[in-house]
This record gives sequence, C-alpha cells and structure tokens, in this order.
Amino acid sequence: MAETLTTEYALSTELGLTLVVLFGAAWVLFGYWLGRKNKTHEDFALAGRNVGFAFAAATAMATWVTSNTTLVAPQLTYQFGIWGMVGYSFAALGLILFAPLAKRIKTLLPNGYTSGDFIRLRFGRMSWHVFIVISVVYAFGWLVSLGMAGGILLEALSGLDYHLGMTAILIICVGYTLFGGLRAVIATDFIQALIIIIGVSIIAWLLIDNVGLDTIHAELGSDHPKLLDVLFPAAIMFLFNNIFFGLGEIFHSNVWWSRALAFKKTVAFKAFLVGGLLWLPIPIVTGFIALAAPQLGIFPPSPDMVGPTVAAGVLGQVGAVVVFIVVFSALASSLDSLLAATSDLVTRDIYHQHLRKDASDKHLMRFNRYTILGLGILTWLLCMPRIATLGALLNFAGAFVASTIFPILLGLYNRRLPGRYAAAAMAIGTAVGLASYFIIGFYVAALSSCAVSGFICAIGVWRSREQFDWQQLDEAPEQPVTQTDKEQVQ
Amino acid sequence: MPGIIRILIIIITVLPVFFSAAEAQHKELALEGPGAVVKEGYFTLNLIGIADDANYQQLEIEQSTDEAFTQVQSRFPFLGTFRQISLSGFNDGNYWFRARGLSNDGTEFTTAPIAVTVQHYPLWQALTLFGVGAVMFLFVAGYILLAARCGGRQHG
Repeated sequence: MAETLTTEYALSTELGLTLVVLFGAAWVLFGYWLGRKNKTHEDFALAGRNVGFAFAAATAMATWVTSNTTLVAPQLTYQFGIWGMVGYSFAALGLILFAPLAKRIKTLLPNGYTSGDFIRLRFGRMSWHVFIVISVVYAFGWLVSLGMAGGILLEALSGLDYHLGMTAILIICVGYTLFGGLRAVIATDFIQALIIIIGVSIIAWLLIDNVGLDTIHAELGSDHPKLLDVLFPAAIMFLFNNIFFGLGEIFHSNVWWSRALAFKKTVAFKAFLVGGLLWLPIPIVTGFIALAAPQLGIFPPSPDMVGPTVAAGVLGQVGAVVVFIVVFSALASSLDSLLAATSDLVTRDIYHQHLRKDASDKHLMRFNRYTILGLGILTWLLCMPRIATLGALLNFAGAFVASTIFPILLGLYNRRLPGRYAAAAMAIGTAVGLASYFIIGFYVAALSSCAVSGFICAIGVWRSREQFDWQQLDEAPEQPVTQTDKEQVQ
Repeated sequence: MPGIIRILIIIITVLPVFFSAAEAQHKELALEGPGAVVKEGYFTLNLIGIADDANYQQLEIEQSTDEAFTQVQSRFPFLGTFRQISLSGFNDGNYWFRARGLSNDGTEFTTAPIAVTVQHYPLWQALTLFGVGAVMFLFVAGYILLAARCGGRQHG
C-alpha cells in the first residue's frame, strides 16, 4: 500500500508557461547570435568540419540524452523493472561502437555530407531509395516522439495542455536551429550537456535522500513483484532489442554521421567513446526514479509521464523546476540535432543531388532553412493526435533502423557486400521487424529486423565475387555554384 | 528569412483553433481495462463517463483478488485531473479492479468491477530471444573491434 497519495501538480500552469517562455527566448537568441558566423552552406550544415574534442564529446552525449533517456527510460523501468533500467543504459553501446566507425567514415568520406551519400556511393540507387525511406520514417518517429515529450513533460509537471507544451518546444527548437544551423546545435548541446549531468546528479541524490532504497524495495516486492524479477519474460525479450535499436539508430542516422563528418579527424573516435561512457549511467539514474513511484503512491495516466511526475512529487516545486530544466534541455538538444541533420539530408541528398545540381551556395542555405521550418510544421501536425506512448512510438522506428546495422557495418569494412543484397536486407528486415512489432510486441521489433537483415547480408557476402573500390567513396567535392561564379559565366 | 518569419506568425495565429477541447459525451461511470490477456504485466485502466466540468473527489482504483472485493489489496489514486492510470509489475493471475470516489454532491460512488488476466510469456521463449540477441551482439561487437584493428584492409 502506498505511503502518500499524490494527486496535485508540482508547478502551477503559469509558472510552467513562464519557464517555457524564458528558456525559449534564451535559446533562440543564443542560436541567432551563433548563426551570424555562418557564411557558407558547409558552415551551416557541418559547422565548418572543424569541431574540437570538448564540444564533440558534449554534443555526442547531449544528443543521445533525449526523450529516450529522460522520459522513456523511466517509462521502461516502470514497465519492465530493473531490466528496463539496466537494459536501457546499454544503448550507450551504440555510441561506443560508433567510435571506430566514425573514424572510418572520416577516412573513407573526407568530402561526404550525409549517411545517404555513403549508401548511394557504396550500394547504388536501389539501396539509397530504401535507405531514404527508412531514414525519413525514423527521423519523423524521433521528431514526433520529441515533440510529444515536450507536451507530456509540461502536462505532467503543471497540468498545462499537452498541445500547448508540444507546440512551444517545437517553435523554440525550430527557431534556434533555423538561425544558427549545426554550429548553434553543437554550442547549445555543450551547455545542455552540463545542465543534464549536474541536474540528473542532483535529482538522484535528493531522491535517495528523501525516499530510501529499503522502502522502495519493500513496496515493489509486495505489490509489484515482477519489477524486481530478473526472469521477467517481456523484460528479457526487451534487453537485446533495445541494444539493437540503439545500434540501428546511431549507425544509420545522419544525426551521427553529420557529427562524425563535422568533428576534426583526430577527435571523432575519442568524442564518441567519451560521449558513450558519459551517457551510460544516466538511464540508470532516470530509470531508478520510476521505481519509487509505487512507494510514493504515484500512478501516472501514461507510463511515459512517470519520470517527471515522481521527481517533481519527491522534490517539490524547486525540484520540479530542476526537472523541467533538465528534461527541456535534453529534448531541445536532440530535437535541434535531428532537425538540422534531417534538413541536411533533404537538402543534400534529395534537392541538391537530384533536383537542382546547379544550386548556388546561398540558395542551398535558404533551402536548408525552409526545410527545417517544413519539418517543424510537419512534426507539429503529426504530434497533435498523440497516437501512442513514447516507448511504443520509438520502438516502432526500431523495426526500420535495425535493418540498416549490417548493411552499414559491412558497407564500411567489407568489399564484397553487393548493393542489391544491402537493399533486400534493409527492405525485408524492416518488413519482418514490423510484423514482429504487431504480432508479438514492440520489444522484439528491432531484434527480428536486425537478425533477418544480417542473414541476407551474410548470403550476399558469401555469394558475391565483387571487390568494391574504396576510392569511389571519396567523391570529389561538388562545389555549389557561388554568386561570383554565376556572374563570371554571365 | 522574412518569409520564414511570416509563416511562423501565421502558425502561431492559427494555433488556438486546435486547442478547443471536445465535450465529454459519456454520462455513465465505468472502468475500462485491457481487452485481452496481459502478457507484459503492465496495463492501463480508464475511468469513462466523467464530464469535463465534473468535480469528483478522492478518485482511486481498488484492487482485489475476487469480484466481491471481500478484501481490498491495493489502492491506486489518480494523478491530478487525469482519469487514466497505468499499473505495472503484476505476476501471473486474475485481478479485479473498480474505481471509487465522491461525486459533486458528496455521495460516494463505486463502478462495476472489471477483471484483468495477466499471463506472462513462457520463459523458454524469452530466453531463446535473449540467446539469439546475445550471439548477434557478440558478432557485431567482435566484427567492429576486429575490423577497426585491421583498418578494414584485410576484410572482404
């Protein structure tokens, strides 16, 4: 039986709105100030390819701390118990294992812009089409989950209407990404990473100090025993699914490829490794918060609201403000990154490569900005109906992204995997992942997708006699036509 | 850039149109649970039939092992003004739930009880998937480490 019955919101609606406006204004102004340094499209999209170690490690860590970590890790802990918490932290393996890949990417594609560039050059058009579909579905899955998380956060803390909170966070992130490009994204990520690390540490310390481990354990053992069970079947099934989902997200997404390409060559490996190690304990801390919910008599309407609700319930109004700042920073650091990376993918891979090869540098920058705005509007429309819980929505995307793990991995290191097998692996892997998602549950989608994709890739490598020439990946920089060039031609 | 600002202003102007809340249509109070057997030990219960302007107090869910509620095992309060509650961590078994509280005029009400059956996946099925996942992960991690060490030259 619960000790206390918590039924009130930690913040007033007015205070919640005030915090949103203050933070929003600060981030947008900061983005505008940073954006003044962007002179070319490469500055805007890849921050001049010259990001140093401190900023690189911070942006890797902060971008990976997202609604996944601050809202979904507590959700999965609330649903799957200790396995949810520990299993979620294993998503750090995605960043850690991407470290050597980042070094390889930087070596093979010194002039590359996006992950789509790599797929097109390494596997050809058919694979590229499949890959773009997967990337777009994933990007929208993540964007929608982040927009939803903003609404859920404010609703859980202050009772503010979900739609208003969701709209606010989208306007703010679109605003400063629009003005500042990747430079603003990375700079804000650095500050957000510091806020997240300090804030999460404070929350964990206060929670243990206020509630105590023994009472939490006693309550769970009595009324929610499965949360402490190491042989909890659904949780066991979820464990490796989550790892493969994380690997798929990072290996394929242009969010991470654009960082690998933007970092200095010597720091790419170290930055992802350190970013992953810094990230590892954060889901343990945020997930642990959820285990205190039954003891405190907090039973959220939706499991993805449990994290902020419990933290605010334990820590009071001041604590709720800290929770708001931490989660808001986490969401913003990911949302801005995803907006920037996806707009780069659309601008570079679709618009510049296929529709307007002669586009001027200035034109590409302008198109990139309109794309950011368009993505923001589309995300907002998709967030309106609140179609699923965050965890279920994210893991739906897992069926897509996990199918790219083996094609990316073998594409980077193995000369023999042919494009048609890579395309089939991604398409069939995704189809099987989706079937598993609907027939069994969200906690097996990524695992089954990756297994089938890996099997098809293995057949491709075994049967193929191709020897891909790595030099083909070093595409000569296709300089956008500058205004001066045009004037000279005329 | 001015074009972008114009579009943003239009979006902000039309936002309130989307925020008009729909009127609650249900009048009879009832508790809704999962429609099928629960295989994950977590589920959501909904209290339906409360109008938006209703001011019910001390709303909570009661749990028992029998339909008559001879003994209430646990009580779960609703959060704030929400009328939905998520519960988790249940072992295999049949559970009965009902909602209770005080209505506008101070009279106590209780909804009809509903049953929730929890039947977890077989452990062999879970461990098989765990094994498949472990083998695949070891392969991926081993391949990356080996390939990174060799610089990709010897592969393929």
